Amino acid sequence: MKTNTKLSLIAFMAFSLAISSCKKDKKELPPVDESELITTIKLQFTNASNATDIKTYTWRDIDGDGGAAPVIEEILLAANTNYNMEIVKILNETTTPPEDITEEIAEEDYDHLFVYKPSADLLTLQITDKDKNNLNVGLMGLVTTGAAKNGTLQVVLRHQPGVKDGTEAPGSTDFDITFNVKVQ
Amino acid sequence: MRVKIGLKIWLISNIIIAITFTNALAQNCNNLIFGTIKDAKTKEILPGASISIKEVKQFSIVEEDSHYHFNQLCNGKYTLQISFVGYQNKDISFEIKKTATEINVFLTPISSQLSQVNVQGQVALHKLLQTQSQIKGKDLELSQGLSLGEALKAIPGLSSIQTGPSISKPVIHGLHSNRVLIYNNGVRLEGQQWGSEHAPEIDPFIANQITVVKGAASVLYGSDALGGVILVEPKPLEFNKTLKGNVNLVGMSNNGMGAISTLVEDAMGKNANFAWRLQSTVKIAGNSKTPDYYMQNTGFNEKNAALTFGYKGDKFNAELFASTFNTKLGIFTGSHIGSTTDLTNAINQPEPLAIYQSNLNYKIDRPYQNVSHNLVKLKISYPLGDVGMLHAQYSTQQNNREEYDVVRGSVGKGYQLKFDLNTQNAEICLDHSLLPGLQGNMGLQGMYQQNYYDGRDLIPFFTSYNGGIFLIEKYTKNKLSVEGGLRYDYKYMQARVRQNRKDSKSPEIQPKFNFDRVSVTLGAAYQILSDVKWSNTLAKAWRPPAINELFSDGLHHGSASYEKGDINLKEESSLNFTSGISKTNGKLTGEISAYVNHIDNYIYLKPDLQPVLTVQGAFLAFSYTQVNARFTGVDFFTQYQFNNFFKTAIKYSLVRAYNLANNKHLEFIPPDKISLILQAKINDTKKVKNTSLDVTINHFAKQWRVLAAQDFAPTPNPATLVNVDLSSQIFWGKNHFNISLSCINAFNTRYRDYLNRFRYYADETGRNFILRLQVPIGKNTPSKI
Repeated sequence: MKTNTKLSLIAFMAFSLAISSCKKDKKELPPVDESELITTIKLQFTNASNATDIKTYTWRDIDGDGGAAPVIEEILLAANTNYNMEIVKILNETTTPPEDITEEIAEEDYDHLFVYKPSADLLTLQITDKDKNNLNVGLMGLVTTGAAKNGTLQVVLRHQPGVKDGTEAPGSTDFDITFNVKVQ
Repeated sequence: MRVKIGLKIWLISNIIIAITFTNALAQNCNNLIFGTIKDAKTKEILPGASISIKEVKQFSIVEEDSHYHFNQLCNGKYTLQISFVGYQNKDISFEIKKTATEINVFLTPISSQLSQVNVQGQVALHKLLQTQSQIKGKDLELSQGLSLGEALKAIPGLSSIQTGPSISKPVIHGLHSNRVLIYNNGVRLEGQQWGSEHAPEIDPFIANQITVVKGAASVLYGSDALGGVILVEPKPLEFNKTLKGNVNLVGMSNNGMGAISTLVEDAMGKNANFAWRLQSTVKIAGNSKTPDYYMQNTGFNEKNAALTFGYKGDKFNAELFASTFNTKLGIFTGSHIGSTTDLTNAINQPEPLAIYQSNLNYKIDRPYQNVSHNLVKLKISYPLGDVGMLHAQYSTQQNNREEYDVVRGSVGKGYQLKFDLNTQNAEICLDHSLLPGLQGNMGLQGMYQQNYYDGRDLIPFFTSYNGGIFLIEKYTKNKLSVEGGLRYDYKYMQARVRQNRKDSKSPEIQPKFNFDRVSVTLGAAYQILSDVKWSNTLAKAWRPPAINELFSDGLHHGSASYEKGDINLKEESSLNFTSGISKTNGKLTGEISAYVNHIDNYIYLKPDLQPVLTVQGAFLAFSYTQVNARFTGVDFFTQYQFNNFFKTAIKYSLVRAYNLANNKHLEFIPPDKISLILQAKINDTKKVKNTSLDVTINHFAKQWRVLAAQDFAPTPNPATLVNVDLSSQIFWGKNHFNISLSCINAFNTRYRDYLNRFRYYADETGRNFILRLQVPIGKNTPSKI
């Protein structure tokens, strides 16, 4: 019975095949579209009183969401010191060559806001750059460390198209990363 | 928003009101006719026969007990027309003089003149014994302008899951999406039902009646129907040469929605062998408003059209149906979140940020969806002598979806995600009656489907083939009906995907899948009294895992979760038992049914212990997993007609759904709901007739069975909402206009709905006045009341 059933089904499906698959499925898979993806963020700290004391720290999740866990470097800073902080690179490294998103964000700085959240009594960070509406951007800042201490620095990029008002609340999060910080 | 369940009586009384109008008789209109329809030789009852009153061109299918009933008839002369497959048509002229008239009808079997049989109802003639509910007539009219999901909510056991105010899809007994089939004019609607934010691609304005089969109904309708089937049925074409139609206008105060739906139909040819109908709908809506604020970017628009062309000949009948559905749906801007923190913040705010509170405007920005669905169907019905009617149907449908997200530098950028799904269906079935009392349907169905995508890789390319073969028979003898059905389905699917889906250079792999199962249905109904029936159905159904359950791998931004598919998922299979008692005549009518739906390998999103760390922060991770689950529930409806002017009704439904592995209640199951309906009618005048005022009080309980750990936010508090409908018919010369004014959420109650995915972000919509007007075109009888 089952063989008969299968036979008639196959015959019927052959009929639907005949009417439907005249054109062969040759369509190529579309390229991987990760244009919105951010894999890499590089922070640079320059000692305010010693321009040769430059340190960069990277947060990197090379395969994007899921898969392998991100690799996060620990930020090492001297105690009671002023640093000029800059976000030097925001990249999508899944493409070849890597896509540099830093410039795109700098161009649309009136739609973006970087928010820095250091753990308690670790350091202070004052944003020093402004957009055309005189609102904070946060690609650059002044960091003042306190006494020697271990803690974290959370960096959030808010995408606020058309709704930026200088506060964190509007919009959505483009990235939200946390570094371990050692002030020594 | 009042509906009815399976109870024909009220519908019939509506039809009677139509009779009242056409006859324009204002005298005694409280008369009753009733009787049964039987075989002239064997005296066996003939369930499923159709009976109509010629003077008003209305017809209805007779219940299983073969009892028919019309009340509130005026004095006067009428003609009953009765038809049934395998029997000669019969016309009976009669005159109503007294309050109650019994007319029993005896039909004579025919040998070879089957071409005479009225095959007006081109839908599958086989009516399952299973619990069915319908929305038509006045109830359907009072749902005009609402989405399909919203319109069906008034049926006990049905609810809708929403994604904001513009996207809604139906839920039957706690099951939805891939577990509910929708048939658009006899064609299995194949859309991209891969998420709760994908609404069914259908225009409810095409329907003359919407039937809901509750519970597993795979044998007749195909695999996947674990929860039930929704049949959106247009009126059968009328083969008489009168150009006619109507224009429906709907306006809503809450979101400034305006809708215009036009229907025109006529017949052509020497013997009016050809008939056509053109229907079109345009809808434009702006931002929806909660009691306190407008939700930015929640407008939508729709442009739909459907053309039907029919041929009715001596040898065969044919119908060509083509429809197009096109919508652009705005998605509430305040729901766009990028991280778990964003979600937590949104939940902790009592209302969305002021910047997401808008005014009434029709602007649609990102995020939005553009969806279109096109369908062409050809159906040929061919009578086969004594045996029955052979139907052959071919259909092709194309569903195109584009999703536009909020992205950096979106100016000049197109969609982020596009699906292009093409489906072809072919079926051949035989509605037959081989012996007196035995009625059935058998057939073959095949489906071919292909999906492409562009942009973000969410659902891969795939090609699938389905084949099914079924047989269902119903035997009726005196008070007992028994039904049995069997079906076998096979599905082959091949996906095309990169081995590493995030690397363009990764080689293509082509995973292949084979699924097959048998579906069974067994039913029995017993007529305890002439108007009291007890019915039972045991049904076994299954569905293959859907493509999203096999292949999802990525962030789901609406719910801030990371979803992982599993290509090793097996078929889901269910065993469903439903038992119900209904009473259809008299002052007190009602129906109660209870069900158990045991689902093996129920596929659901199980929270993972480890969150996924991404550049946007940590996300809760979910994996598609299979467990055994049990859904149980009760649907209840009762109505009491005090007199010709007052009636009251109560509806109640509850669903319980447990994961049998850990005995936890499943998420996203509708809370208990109870409705109280009061209706008052006023006396007709010469110009204003059939005026009624309906007050509906709906109470939703809190879904407290879901534990706090199972959701991001506590489940919403109970809510009580009041809807008011005032409807009437205005007679102007030879024409009549149907007019109604409804007020949804009359007290502007602030509440959140557990089944709305956007309940994390905003309240439900507030008070909404809806004005509806139906204007006739040409020479009309009141088609809908």
